[in-house]
Amino acid sequence: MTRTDRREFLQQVAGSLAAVALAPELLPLPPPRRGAPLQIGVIGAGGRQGRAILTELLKFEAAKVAAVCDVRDERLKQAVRRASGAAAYADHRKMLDEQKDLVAVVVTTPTHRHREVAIDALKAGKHVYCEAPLAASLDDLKAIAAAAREAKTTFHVGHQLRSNPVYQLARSFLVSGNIRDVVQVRAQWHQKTSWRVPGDDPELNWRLARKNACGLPLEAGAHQVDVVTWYLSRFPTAVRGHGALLSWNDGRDAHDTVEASLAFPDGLRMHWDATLANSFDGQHELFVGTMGTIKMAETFGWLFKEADAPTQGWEVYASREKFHSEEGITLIADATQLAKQGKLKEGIGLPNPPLYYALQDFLKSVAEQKPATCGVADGYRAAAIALRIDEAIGKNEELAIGPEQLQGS
Amino acid sequence: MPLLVALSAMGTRFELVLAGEPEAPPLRALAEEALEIVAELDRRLSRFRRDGIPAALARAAAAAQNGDGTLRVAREEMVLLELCRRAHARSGGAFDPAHLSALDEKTATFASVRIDRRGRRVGVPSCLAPLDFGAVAKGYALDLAARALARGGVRVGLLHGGTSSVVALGAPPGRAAWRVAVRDPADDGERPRALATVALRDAALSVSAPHGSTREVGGRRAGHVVDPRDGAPVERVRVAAVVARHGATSEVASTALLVRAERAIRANAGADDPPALRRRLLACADLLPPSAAALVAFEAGGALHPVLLGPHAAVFSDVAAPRAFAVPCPETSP
Repeated sequence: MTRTDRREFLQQVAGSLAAVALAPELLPLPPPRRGAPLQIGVIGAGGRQGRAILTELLKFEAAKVAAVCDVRDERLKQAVRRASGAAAYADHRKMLDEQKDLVAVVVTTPTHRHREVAIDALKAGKHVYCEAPLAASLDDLKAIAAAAREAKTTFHVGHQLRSNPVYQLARSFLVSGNIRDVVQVRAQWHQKTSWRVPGDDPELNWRLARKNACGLPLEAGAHQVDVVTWYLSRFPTAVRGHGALLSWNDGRDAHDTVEASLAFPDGLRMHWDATLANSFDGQHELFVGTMGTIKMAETFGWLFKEADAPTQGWEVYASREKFHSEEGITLIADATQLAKQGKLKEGIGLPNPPLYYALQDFLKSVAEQKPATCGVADGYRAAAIALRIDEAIGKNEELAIGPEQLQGS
Repeated sequence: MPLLVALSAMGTRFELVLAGEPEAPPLRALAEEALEIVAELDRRLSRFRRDGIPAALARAAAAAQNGDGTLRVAREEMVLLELCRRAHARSGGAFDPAHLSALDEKTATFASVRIDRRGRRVGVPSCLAPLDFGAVAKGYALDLAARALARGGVRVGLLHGGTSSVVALGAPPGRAAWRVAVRDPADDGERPRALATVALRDAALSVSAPHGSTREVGGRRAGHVVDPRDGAPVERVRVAAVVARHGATSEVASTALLVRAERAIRANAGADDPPALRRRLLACADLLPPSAAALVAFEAGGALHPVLLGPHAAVFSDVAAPRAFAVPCPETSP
């Protein structure tokens, strides 16, 4: 394959990304006035994710954080410093009442507090970016989904890997049959951390109490379940799992080490595990196929080919990385442009954190009345399946995944 | 028994040693939050990552060819860039995150970076040299980590990045200060002697030295530290250690001092007269921020000569006497 052929191939790959866009959601609101930045409010702005969102939103000329809200005074002050010029609120309803010019709202409160805030924002006529996982109970998921479907505004769920250009590229490889038949999926989320937030108020450590159902299956697993179902366009039918508290015996009751096996139709299984005790090999998803394996790790992706897989001309130019006895072809999102400039190796990784691309997609869908990259049905399904994993671990038995989890799929 | 947590970041190992009950959940949570701050700054300030500020500014510089060379940056980045701008001006260019500019005449120094604090916007010319925050990133990360710990109520702790950047919170129980040794560059043994000992209490220490790696820039092999203004390698000044209130300011001062001191020695027309060289180095004290102190050691006549600078130089104790020195310089030949 010549260099030109390779460019054409990559252009085709890029083109296929458009073809895999999700089903459109109706967005009847007119787009905001051209030229004026979108006025945005961020609710839960002082938490860890809130800080990250404010940092990324600052990069967009088309957006302006006009208001921030946090129930904790110290965090609210920090958020105001970060988003200079933004109005400060401790009560999200007051913010929605007073800030009439807000076009969109980002909800980044604790997961089990999404329902009230997201629904209030939708009822106030705002476009909503709601952090993922979408909610921490089926009741909450159903309520949010109903409100989002009723609303005439965009509802974007923050499963940011869907907007990640490297993940989009790798999906196009998988969908086009590059690794042929997927026979196994493995995903892990490993970090060495207590997962604790400083502070005396137990509510700050909402992830560590089982009653909130915001443990590893939901907070880590939902994102990876979403990637896998998005990649495979298939959904699991049953799950069994196991969990234990092995490392952090500090008064919490949520497990610090969990694993689950999800059964898909026709025998395929996804193995997922997560731990807070060890960081080895971090977070990644592995798609094992009969002609190769795709490994995805946040802003990086690799294709490992089987020896009998056909060689394609563009591989001559590809950047490779060695992992013990394996050699992976590095997946580079903007490879075509970089190859033209002879800077392919400089394209490893992404120019921005994954969150940036998710916010970019949201702003674009609001401004251009385009469908959300990750809509409420996607968010519902990922969270519902993750909650089912949590339930299976708690009951220590295999549970079916049915219409209640896959609603809208 | 203190709590020790660690992280690999910025090409080195960061350690936080915090006094308190190590298994107490609040202390560990605070320590982990501090490590997250370091990890996040590693990502944002690294020159090896596409999503870091140096790469973003390089893209802005490329865009400047078409007229728009500006970038919106976060508060932490704005504060650091402003600090670098001031340090660059104060040091007469001896400290320059765009220090590769000296080795490529087509590139511009950090003085060309325009900073709009209110608009949180940075403007760069198309010819800006690639930025490398180097050790100042370590000092700044330690400052922000220490601030988060202090806000959380931690009063006693020692934080370091690769042992050359240190920030002290309070002092160990029953002591007036943390005592940190500055390694003698003439001793490369497993348990090297100390050149001096530093007393740190709510203060930061930065140790800059030319030994270590060399690199090739513009077809030329350069030492680990070069003068950003003319590319001259630092060879005879072997250590510059600065104690200041904050890690970032001590880092910029120790880097600038290393470079300025080398130039001062070279300006002595080749005479190896330690008392004269010592007097020249004392004139470099104007680089130091208020309430800072420094220790500089230079090589002359086959011996290493330590010199103390600044009105608060008493924080250095047990300073070694001049001693024989025969460690070769980093390779700097073309």
